[in-house]
Amino acid sequence: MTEVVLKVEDLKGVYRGSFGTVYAVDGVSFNVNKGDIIAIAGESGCGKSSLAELLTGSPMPMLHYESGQVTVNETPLYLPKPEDKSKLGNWEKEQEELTNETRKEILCKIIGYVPQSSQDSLNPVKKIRSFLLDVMKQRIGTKPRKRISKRKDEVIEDGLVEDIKPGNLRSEVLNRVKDHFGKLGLDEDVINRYPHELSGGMKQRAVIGISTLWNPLILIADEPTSALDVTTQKLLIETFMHLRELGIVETILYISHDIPTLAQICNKCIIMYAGKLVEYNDMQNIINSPLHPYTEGLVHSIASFNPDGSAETDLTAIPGRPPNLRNPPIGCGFYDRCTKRMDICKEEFPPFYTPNEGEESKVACWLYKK
Amino acid sequence: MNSLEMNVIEEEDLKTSFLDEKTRAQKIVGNSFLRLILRKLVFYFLVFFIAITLAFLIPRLVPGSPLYYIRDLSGSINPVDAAIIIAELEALFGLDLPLWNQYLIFLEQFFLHGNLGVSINLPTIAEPVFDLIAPRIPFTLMIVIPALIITFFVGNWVGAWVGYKETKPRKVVYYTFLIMGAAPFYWFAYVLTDIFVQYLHFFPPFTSTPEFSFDLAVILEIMKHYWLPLILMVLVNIGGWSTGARSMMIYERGSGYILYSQKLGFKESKLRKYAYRNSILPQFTGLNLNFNNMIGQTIILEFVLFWPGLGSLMISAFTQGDYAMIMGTFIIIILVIVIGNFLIDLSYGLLDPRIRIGGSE
Amino acid sequence: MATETTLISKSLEKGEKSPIINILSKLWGTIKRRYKKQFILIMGLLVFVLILEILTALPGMTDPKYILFDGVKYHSEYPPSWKYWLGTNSTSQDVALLILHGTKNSLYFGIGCALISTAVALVVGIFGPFIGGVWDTASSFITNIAMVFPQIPFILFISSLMATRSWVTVMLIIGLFSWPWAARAIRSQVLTLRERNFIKVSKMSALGNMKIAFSEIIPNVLSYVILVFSISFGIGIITEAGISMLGLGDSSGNFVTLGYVLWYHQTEYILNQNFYHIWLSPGIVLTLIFLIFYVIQSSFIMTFNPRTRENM
Repeated sequence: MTEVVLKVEDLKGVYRGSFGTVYAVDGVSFNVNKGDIIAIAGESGCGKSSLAELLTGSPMPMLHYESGQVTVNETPLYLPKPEDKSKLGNWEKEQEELTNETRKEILCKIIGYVPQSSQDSLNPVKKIRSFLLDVMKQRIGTKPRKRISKRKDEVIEDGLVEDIKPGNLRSEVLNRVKDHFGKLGLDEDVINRYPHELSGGMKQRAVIGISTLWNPLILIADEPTSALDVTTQKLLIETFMHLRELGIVETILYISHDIPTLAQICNKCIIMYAGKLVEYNDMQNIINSPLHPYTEGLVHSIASFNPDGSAETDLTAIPGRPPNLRNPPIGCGFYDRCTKRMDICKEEFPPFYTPNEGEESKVACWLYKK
Repeated sequence: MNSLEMNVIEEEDLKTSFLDEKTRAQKIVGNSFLRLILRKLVFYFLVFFIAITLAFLIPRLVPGSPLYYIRDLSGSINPVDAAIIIAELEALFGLDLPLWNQYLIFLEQFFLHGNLGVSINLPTIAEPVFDLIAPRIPFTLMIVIPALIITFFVGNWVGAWVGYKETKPRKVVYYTFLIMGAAPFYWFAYVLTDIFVQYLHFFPPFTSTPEFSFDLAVILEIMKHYWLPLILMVLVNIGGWSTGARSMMIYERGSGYILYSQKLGFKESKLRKYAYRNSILPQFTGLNLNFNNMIGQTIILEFVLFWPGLGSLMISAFTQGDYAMIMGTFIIIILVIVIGNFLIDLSYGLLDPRIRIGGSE
Repeated sequence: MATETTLISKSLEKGEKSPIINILSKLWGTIKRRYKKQFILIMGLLVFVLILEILTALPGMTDPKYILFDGVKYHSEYPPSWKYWLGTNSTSQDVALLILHGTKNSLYFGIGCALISTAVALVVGIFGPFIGGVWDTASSFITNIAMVFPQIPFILFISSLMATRSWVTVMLIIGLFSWPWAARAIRSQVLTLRERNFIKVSKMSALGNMKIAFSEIIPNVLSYVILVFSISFGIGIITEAGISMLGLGDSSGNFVTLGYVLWYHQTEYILNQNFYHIWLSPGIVLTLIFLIFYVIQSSFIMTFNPRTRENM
């Protein structure tokens, strides 16, 4: 029996601001088993990154949890919103407490997060070293000390970085960090530099290094390669594989719009469209026999080169544009662009079907109604 | 694995080149602070020189300048004094000589003898202007310097505080300061005087402050008069800083490193600290301009509140047509501003190593 | 700020010459399209000036210093009433009328100052970096030096040396001493624009410098220019009121501004608790004017920085 580490049930999240309300994540459910490498794919603006933010339990300020649940390692991250509006104030307070608890207990230890914009993810006025000490302080309450104090109970313990405790010496802790960075192919001098003194790839790897210091159960990588050139991208992907080989992380949620990259590393794939999950399948099936018409369109719009150097000829883009998420359509969001549309598609969002029995796949499309 | 190793080698190269650069940078830093001092010194001397040249030229160019009426002193002055004054002024300004010659005399008198002429105002007649100005300088500085420091920290803090979380009470505080900053400060001085002096009797009434002397009673008396102008300068200038800090904070709080630190499980308080520090740091570059503005403001304020600084001396000289005094106070004010700007520039140099290495802009 | 398709290259494609009127009409179109909100605010202000102009042109209201004498007695120091909204002063003048004229003249004065300082700032800020070389160094050096020059002491110094001052002179003095920060802001904007590709393309296509500056650079720094204009507008009004209050404004006494109204009643009424309506009102009007400019400025800042926009 495979162990479920992350369970998402009918998760909804919205952006609220002066522009109105945007339904970015609109009822997404899936499970992540231990050891999976799951891709989340879809075009820009489909809610991939918003989903990732919500999965950390501590979403960015403008993104708000609406309903549903995320359970990480059997710990729920959200309190369901009460129906009664008078209790809403109380609920907000409790939710905030829960978020603070999440930050303390879950983040880093259970969920590691690698952000999209890693180029400005490190505080520009701090050296990596002092940023790391800040991270330690946030995790264990105090900064590691410079010298051994005379109290007896402070013993330096051997072991992995995850065992960092209040009593550890600063130099000892930093040595472990250096080891950890070394495994990612980073030089140990990196921690003595300012972020602007690092190259893009180094910065990204430093961020991955910091996110994986406590060997998190799940690593959520939100388009980590989007701002890098192709060779650095390749290196980074190898870094992820390497992390897995070393047993630092086992489960990875990799978000990207770049299907060829995803195909190299992931074994499962989630396709999102207009805030909704439309297909969940094995990566190979996504590439070879996509179920949802949107997935088909997506796979066909990948440019690839044949071994003889000629470009593939049947490259097609999906016509049209995704729907406006400010007032999402009642039916299937892909209706306007779909070539296989039916009348029912416009009126009701399809339930999930599993067309091929025995497979762990699901697709939200009326085509598979029996 | 292979390419990973390749990358390590690549970074080895990067590291060595980086080290080279580092030592080079250290070498430059070693004497570049000196170079910065020298460069700024030359720049500000030039500014000062241009300013006093303008101060020399403008009275000779504008129509109806009091300069040409100096020899026409009214009969109320006793003839001995008048003779001394006229002799002094002729020596200083040499009005009959050609312009370039006058200029040379002016420069020689100023730079070699520190001579700014004599006053023609009755109570202080025939006294050297410089001796009258010197005791007023501390009075102006004791308002401007504390006000600059307080408004910088409080104003930026208020702005960052509002920008970080825009709740209603915070906005009320912010807009209150903004309105106080928008009100014309000289008029606002009267409003505050009305409230604090006439109604609440917090401060002594509108009488002139005594001259400074090393007597405890006098110092206490001065301190009593000191609070109102200081509070006013602070209240009026907080709004300007906080507008800047607020928009910086709104920018910073949505930036990548805050969001990432949040995902690393940072506490709210630590995130706030990061955002505050990064939004206030760029505000340092506003210090020069604000210092200059504040000097301008105190000049008018001192007159309004009878504070015996440089400004009230300058304005009373205007009303009496005391030309040498106008000129003298103007030159000293420029000197104060130039020295102040120089010191502010040097303090950045100490604060931020990047400025030490980088250029002037 | 989206990279606009260059106006010049468009007209080149069509094979037409680009007369200055053509460019100006396109510029006008850009202003209307891109800065609709600010446009409305500034237009509102102009309408306000027009209303003031009409009001002050009504019979019986043209002379701000008209002495109220009904043949029997002088109407001096009347309290506020329906007839005299802000009462009358000891010279029997209607204070409300003085303030009405003062507001109008202050606004005109502000426009004049803003025009002068924006024009200087544009010349120094745009042409210097754009032509490059010696001009660039010179304009940057001049701006840096002028930044250190203290405005108010200089303005006071010059006005105090003049025996007679007309309002035009005062406007010139204030306008000519308040451009440096504006020039610096425009300059830095132009420096970033200079590196953009469409400017390089225009340069490569051998267009004259002036033409490029007018057709490419100015439309793109327009938002900055309008911002600078509105800030200088406010600064001009406040500075004029400040020096008028010291008695160093227009010396003829015929140009009634808000600062002049303050100065006019200074010795008699200031801090007099029976005459709050006289000495508080000019300051309140000045504050309101400044706040209107703050609204205009912050609407610009919102356009520049989208994150600010989402939070206001």
